[in-house]
Amino acid sequence: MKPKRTSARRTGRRVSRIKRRTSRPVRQVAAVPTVNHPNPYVSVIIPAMNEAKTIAGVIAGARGVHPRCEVIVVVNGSADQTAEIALSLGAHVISYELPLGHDAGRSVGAEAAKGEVLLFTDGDLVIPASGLRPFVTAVSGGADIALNDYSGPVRRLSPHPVVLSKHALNILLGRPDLKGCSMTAVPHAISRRALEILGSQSLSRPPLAHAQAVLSGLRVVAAHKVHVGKLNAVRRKEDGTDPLQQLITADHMEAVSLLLEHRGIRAGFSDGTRRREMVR
Amino acid sequence: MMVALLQVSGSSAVRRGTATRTVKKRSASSQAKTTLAPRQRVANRSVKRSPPTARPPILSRQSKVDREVLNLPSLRGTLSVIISARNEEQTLGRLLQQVSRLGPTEIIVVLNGCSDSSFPISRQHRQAIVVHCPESVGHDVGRAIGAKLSRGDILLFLDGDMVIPASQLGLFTAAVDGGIDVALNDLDPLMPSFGLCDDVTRSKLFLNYALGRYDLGVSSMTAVPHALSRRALETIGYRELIVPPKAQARSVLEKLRVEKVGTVNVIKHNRLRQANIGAGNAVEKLIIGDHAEALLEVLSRRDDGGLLNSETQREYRRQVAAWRNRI
Repeated sequence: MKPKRTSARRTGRRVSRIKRRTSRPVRQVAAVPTVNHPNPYVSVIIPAMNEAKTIAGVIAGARGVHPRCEVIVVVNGSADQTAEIALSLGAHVISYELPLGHDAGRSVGAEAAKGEVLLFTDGDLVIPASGLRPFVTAVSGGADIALNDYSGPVRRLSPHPVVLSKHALNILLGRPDLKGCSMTAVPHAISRRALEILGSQSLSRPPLAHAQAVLSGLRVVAAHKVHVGKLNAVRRKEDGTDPLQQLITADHMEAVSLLLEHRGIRAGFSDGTRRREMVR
Repeated sequence: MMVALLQVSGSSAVRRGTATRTVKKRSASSQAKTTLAPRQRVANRSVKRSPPTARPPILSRQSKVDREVLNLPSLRGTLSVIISARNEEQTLGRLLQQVSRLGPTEIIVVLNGCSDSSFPISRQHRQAIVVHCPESVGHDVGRAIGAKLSRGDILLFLDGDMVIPASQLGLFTAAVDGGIDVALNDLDPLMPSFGLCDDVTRSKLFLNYALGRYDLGVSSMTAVPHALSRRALETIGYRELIVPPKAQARSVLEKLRVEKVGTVNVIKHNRLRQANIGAGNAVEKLIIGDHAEALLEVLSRRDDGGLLNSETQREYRRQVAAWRNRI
């Protein structure tokens, strides 16, 4: 009796198949330099606060995004070896003793950047170069803002308020296709043109920069997905509130305010066939 | 009883934007004979009819209906029912029957650009006050017209395209009678996960969050049925009902009691029209624009929290960064 097959895979038909390649062709990559390029095409901006454990990995990933690359580490409010490690890896280190403030490191880094493409990531996100390169490619290909194509967890009806705010802002901006993608999330890359239009200061309040970018007609795209959700733990105060959540959602409300100033009270959406004068 | 009040005009009112499913319609005849016998419908309206309890129970179905009327809790306040309709001849008659069972003081039917027999059907109802707008006045404007004409303590807002049993409508009127100012339809149990929701639903959630009422979920005055107290109407202003999310924002900001009181599945029965099918349809855009107006209302009322100067703002961000980093 023929033994019963227990797996879907049939045996004994290998011969009829096309022979497998023994090895994948590997693209020859130039040796990763350990110093910043004097005339960089890409500036990688890494704000860091007490990230001695991860900073080396982050820099290693950043180095591989482009042959002409500079790495800028904005160390602020750090009591550990973050700055020393970054320096030893040839990064341009900008140090502040006190914390600059949430997302404020991005503005500082952007001001120091010399590249045509600015790639923003974070000192606690170790992402391999392959996960960062698509953002640079998107900007090289004509996008002004290349966002992380990550919308956050949306399995419940009522998601985390930050996730909700990002979606709602995009809907109101007339870009529902962006879902929950936002400049709030890293990694993302922007063109020099975008930096000039937005201004480096606005990058400290990413939802406002995001709205400004769409309103200015910059090309905003969701370029590549890096699953950063697990890497960003929610931290709460004793009373259960999350000040960071409040800060980010408040920024989104500011962004809505900016939008309404630009596009009018209905954010540019039509009133249909309403004849409001019928009711006085 | 009948008033052809305003010469107005075509695509009436409404909640919606959400329907993407197939609508299952019951046959029009199924309920037509239950509550009112034909002879009663054609009775001279000037003659005062005997109260329903005095009616001899001829049909068993009819007596069942009467029993249900008695079961509905009696209201302390007077009830005005406002129905917006746009070519709803299939449902309007049956809806009016259900509404009658609530014992309303008045029924105002705003016919918005109707070209079918909605007008004669509503005229046949002995109690209905009919506002006939031959040309469309646009979405939700009918509600404001009806609200302006109403006099009751409780205002129940309905759409003519859906027959909702009186027992379910009673939830909303009873809630307002019990002290709630804005009684909303709770659509949360009918919704998929956020990832699968449409943009209108997401906008509704965000508005409630921005109002500090995330507990309201997707409940919105955009959806029917909902009921208002007279106090709510006066606080909001009847004109604001033209933009239901804005009216909702005002209700919460003015500290009215806004609650979701029950679930009526309006998604399954929502009538599909040319304008409300598919993503990015005209109705969806209209409702998103309404939410923009509502958010402007929220923004204009917020205290100095939103007007932080840049230095305070920076300092706050420093504190948050420091706090997050040290835990």
